[in-house]
Amino acid sequence: MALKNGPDSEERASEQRLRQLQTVTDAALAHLTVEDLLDELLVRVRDVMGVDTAAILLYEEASNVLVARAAKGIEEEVEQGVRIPVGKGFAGKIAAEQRPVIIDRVDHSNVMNPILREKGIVSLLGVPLIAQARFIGVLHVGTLTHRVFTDDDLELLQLVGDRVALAIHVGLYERQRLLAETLQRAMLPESLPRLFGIEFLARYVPAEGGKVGGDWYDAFTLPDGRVAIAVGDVVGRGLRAAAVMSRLRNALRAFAFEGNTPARTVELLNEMVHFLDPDEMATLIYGVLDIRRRELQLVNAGHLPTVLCRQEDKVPQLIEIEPYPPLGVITAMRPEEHTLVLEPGDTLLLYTDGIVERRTTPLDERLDMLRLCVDCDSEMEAMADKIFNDLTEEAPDDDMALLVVRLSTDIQGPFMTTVDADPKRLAELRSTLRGWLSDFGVPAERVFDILVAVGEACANAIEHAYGPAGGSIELSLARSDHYLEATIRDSGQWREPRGMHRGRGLGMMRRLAQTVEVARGPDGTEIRLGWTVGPRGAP
Amino acid sequence: MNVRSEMIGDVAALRVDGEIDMSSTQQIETLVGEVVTNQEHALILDLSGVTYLDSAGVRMLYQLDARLAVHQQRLIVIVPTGATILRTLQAAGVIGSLILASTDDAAMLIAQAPPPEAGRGPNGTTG
Repeated sequence: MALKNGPDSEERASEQRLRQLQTVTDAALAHLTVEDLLDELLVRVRDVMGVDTAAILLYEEASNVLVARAAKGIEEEVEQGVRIPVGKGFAGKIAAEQRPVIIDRVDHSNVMNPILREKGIVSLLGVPLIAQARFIGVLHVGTLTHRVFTDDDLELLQLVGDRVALAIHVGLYERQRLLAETLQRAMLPESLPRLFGIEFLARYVPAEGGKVGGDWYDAFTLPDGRVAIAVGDVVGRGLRAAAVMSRLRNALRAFAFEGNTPARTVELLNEMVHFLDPDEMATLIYGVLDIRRRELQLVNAGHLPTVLCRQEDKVPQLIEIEPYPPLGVITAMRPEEHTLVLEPGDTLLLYTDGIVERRTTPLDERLDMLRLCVDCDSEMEAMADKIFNDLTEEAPDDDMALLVVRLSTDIQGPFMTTVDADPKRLAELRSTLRGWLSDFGVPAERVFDILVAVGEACANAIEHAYGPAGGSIELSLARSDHYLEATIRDSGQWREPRGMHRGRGLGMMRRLAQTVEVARGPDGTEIRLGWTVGPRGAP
Repeated sequence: MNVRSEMIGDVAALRVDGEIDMSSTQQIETLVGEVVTNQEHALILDLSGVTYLDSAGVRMLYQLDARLAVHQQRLIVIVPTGATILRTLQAAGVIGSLILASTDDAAMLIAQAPPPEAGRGPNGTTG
């Protein structure tokens, strides 16, 4: 838009004012908060335009309303949190039509917001704020005396608006993106469970330009020792999707932790989304794995098929389990679990659509490419590398998450021994343990930690589990691909340590073992100590 | 586990070899009573030959330290640099709260240093 011909002096004056504004926007970006930035901008807008009031309303996509975020001369707008539906009133009309609107004289028919009327505003001019082809809000100015806003005024405000929009866009959306990414990262598990007999690998990659979406993965141990795995995808992008994702992920953990079956957990999640986030939709694949029985119960709510490569035939396959609708689509979902029996080496891949969906290639073709990347014999890291290498040549415009689960193949043990709960047997127990650790190829620098931690657990049982009549301690040790687990069981009634310097054993275990789980029951105490070790033969 | 008593210079010492756990601490504690007379101002406990030490051993060290402090006597523990049992001592937070020396000579020097003020344990640790 070029300024229309007017007196040279006037044009220079407005240009000069514009430059003034420009400096503010540029300089302010670096250190002002968005709120301060908007306030600062409005002060300048008021000066530049010679008006009494100025306000910025930002568009909230989720609820399709404009929310007053900054105002000068009509501060009440912000204080009262004025929300204007798109299409309603003055600002709503600007939003709906995405073009400037002039109101020569304010009355009930053309202005919805009572604050504007109560303040005695007579004339109004407003422009849409558009940054990078995206409507982000409305900037309007008003006067307390009648003013005929000219085309020049309009164009000047639009120019100002463009700069304001850009400043907001950078300031606000950059922050939102950062926040969303932080939120997303924070919601992904810090570490995957380290468990005997199961290997995990997970990756999350934001979309191109660091844009986050609503993808998540999760893996956690349930109180009964089974393992929950989940990969989900909230439809949509940005902060809102990330926020919905975080709610879903926490709710899933809570429902699962309460002891609900996978089917019931998904049913509850569906009801929750339907009730609390009726406009949202999410796909989810959720399963619970019983490692001892090697049984995986899966429920699929609108998610893409899981890939399974079995050690038996080494042919990766898409597991087409009965798909239920995505969460939040139907009122009541009564899903049933699909049970898979897994064998050592069987490798399962859960993923989100960002990995396979590309506009240029049919989905079946992409699914097949992905399927062929899953190999039960390759290292899981290498497998994930191959997936990202083969399938994400084009920069993805969606975020991507994947979770690989494999039942360990290289299992040694469990070696077991039972001894009297007698301090004199401790040395013998250590000697047995040294022998096992050497058989397992555990590196020497790990041996001492394991000896002491296990020794502490045994000493605990001797000291606290039994009375003078004594009892016995059962020690077992097993190693899967990357994990070593020692289990120490007694069948006594545990009591709190007595005396000074007692009760140091548990602290010692926690410092020397990577994972410590203590399960006290009426039939005795079981202490599980775990360490990550290299595969056999590796350091 | 094997314990023998010796003098390092003019300081009473116990040298321990093997593994220390709850089954062997009593033996060391008994020997301390026999070796440390009221005339001594310190006891050197040499753990250079110890291959295993758990929290029962740590507990014993604290108890010995407290017991000796009552008589204004100091416990000096020899643990060579790089010894595996340092892992236990680190994990138990012993380092810094007991007097550790890495060699006989270092232990002697500490033992010959002026005694700490009365009423206060070595390095402030009295138990």
